[in-house]
Amino acid sequence: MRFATLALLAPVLLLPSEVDAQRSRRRFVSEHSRNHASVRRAFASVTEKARQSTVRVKKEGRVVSLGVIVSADGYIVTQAAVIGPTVECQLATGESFHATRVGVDESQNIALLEIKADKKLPAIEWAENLNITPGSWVISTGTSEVPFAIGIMSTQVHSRRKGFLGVQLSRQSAPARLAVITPDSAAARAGLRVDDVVLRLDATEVDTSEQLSAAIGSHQPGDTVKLRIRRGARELDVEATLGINTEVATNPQERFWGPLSALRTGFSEVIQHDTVLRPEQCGGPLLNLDGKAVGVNVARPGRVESLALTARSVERIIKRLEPRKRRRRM
Amino acid sequence: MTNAHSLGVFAVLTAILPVAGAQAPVSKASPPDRLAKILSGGVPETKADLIAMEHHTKLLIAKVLPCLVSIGGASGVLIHDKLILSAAHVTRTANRSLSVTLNDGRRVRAVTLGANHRNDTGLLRITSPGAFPYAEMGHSSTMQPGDWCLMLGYPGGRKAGRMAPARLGRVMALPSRRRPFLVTDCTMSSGDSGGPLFDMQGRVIGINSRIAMDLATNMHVPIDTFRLDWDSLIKGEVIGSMRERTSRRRRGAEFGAKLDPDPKAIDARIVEVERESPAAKAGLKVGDVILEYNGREASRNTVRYRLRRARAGDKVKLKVKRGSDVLELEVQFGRNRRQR
Repeated sequence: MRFATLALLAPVLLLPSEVDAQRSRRRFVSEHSRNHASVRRAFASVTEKARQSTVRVKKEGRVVSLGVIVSADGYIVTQAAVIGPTVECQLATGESFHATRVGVDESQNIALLEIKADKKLPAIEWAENLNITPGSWVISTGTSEVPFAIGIMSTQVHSRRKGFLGVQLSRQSAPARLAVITPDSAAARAGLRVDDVVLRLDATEVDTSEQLSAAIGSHQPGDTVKLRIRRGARELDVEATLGINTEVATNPQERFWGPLSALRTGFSEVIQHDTVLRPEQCGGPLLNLDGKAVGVNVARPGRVESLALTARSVERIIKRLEPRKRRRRM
Repeated sequence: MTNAHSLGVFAVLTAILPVAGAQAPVSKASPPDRLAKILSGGVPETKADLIAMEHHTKLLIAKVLPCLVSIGGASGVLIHDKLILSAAHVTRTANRSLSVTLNDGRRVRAVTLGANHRNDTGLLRITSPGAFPYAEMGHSSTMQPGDWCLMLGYPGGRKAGRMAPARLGRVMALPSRRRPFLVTDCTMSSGDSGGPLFDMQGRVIGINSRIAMDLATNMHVPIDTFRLDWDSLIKGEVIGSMRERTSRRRRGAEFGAKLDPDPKAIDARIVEVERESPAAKAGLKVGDVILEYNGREASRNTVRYRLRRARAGDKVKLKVKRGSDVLELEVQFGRNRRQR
């Protein structure tokens, strides 16, 4: 699969400018930029409540992430990637608490922490439904009065889980010929062989490697697909149950442009937005214009996108990570 | 193909949009004249301003999205007469027949017309029959720093079943003699090449071309440059070439050491040092990891980038890690022997 993807990208790498690489750093903060304080200030009234439910997560005195207070009795959600066994959570009020780790969902980059405060904490208000569409403002708040970054929702809510067949395709675009079969993959289990040519996937006619990649990528792990293949002079149908792609075809050029977070795939349901976040600015709430949390920022996988896990996915993970004892009490 | 058609598309989409969930409480929004002022170089101040901007942005995206096309792994935008604007580094040369995917997933045939590699302007025309939605060409000369703008494209290629990501930003700098591009903070990446930059009325004011290190420096060919090149683009003339661009960049100087060939490697690790090369003379050894390049933090890709841009005679200070030691070396680039 990766061969095909990279081949697709190769001819269209953006050309890095020859003169601007050094010069431009200075211009990063400009009065004209979208993220200038003069723009962000307009959002202060929107984020006023939610920032009280945001914490700064510190490891050895350094802020490594943001976090979201999700219950009055001290449960906090943050990103799993940066959390060690001992962290501190600093509230908007300035008070700091030692936090213990309750549970972690590595695949979704979510960790659940607990702090023991002697008072009720202001839990985040989740948006009741995902009432945002591409073009909606999304606001990333920290604990300060003016949010640190704003952006728009870029595309519709989607899943970053991709079906994985476990084949590499030959370099020629057409036909879609299998060059490598990954052992123990869906393809291997379905009995696919090197040099098989894929002609059809379910109802989709497949002429090229790119079409096959796209067709497989549009399926979810666990989906069963029917493949019509040509093997030598014979044509036959095989069924394959897709697995999860653990290896991600990333664009090497992306590495060039500043810190990106390590986790890149497998998110169940994400809001993609165009906010520029540093990895340590993830873990906090993503708000809509009503000041309600629509999600939690979990990744910055590319130059053009940040990802927030949707509120309902986060709530589902919290339910799963909470200790059983507590769950019964509620 | 007619204006009425493109307006029709707009009307249909704006009618559909509220159903799709854009329940903007427009009653609480700032009035249109105030919104217009904000969008041209101003900043929002109140929540009413933000509501008005949000509502406007959503409608704008719905209006211009149908005009976006995917060309291979890159982008382009439909304008009148079945023409598609893109970048020269996407279309490359004239008379190439290729398949273009419209925003709604339809695949059509197109042929490349002219390309000017010096300006990165490229043009194509759809050869398949039919009528297509299209965007209006604006005027980049009317833009000012601080003006709001919207960018579309297919970063990383078109993803089936997922809308092309929209990016909202502002004009950061105008085209100048030194740098003939519109610069915005609409972040772009590979695959966005050739995609459109719109003003907030939905007119094309630029075509995505290139980026710098900095996330706020995204460069778009000004639409006025397409107008200057127009006659030659329509005639199918190709000015300059990809090769010329590459060779100009390769005039680089001799360093004499190779970096880890894995494009995903993060460390700037030396895997080969040529004998008696500048690198060898400075004492660089296989296995060394370059930590800093002229005082700047270095990675495999940043070092590669800078090595390619060095000239013979340039001196560079390197901080390298060798085992547990950190050393400082100075390398003077030599004349590139292969180039002579």
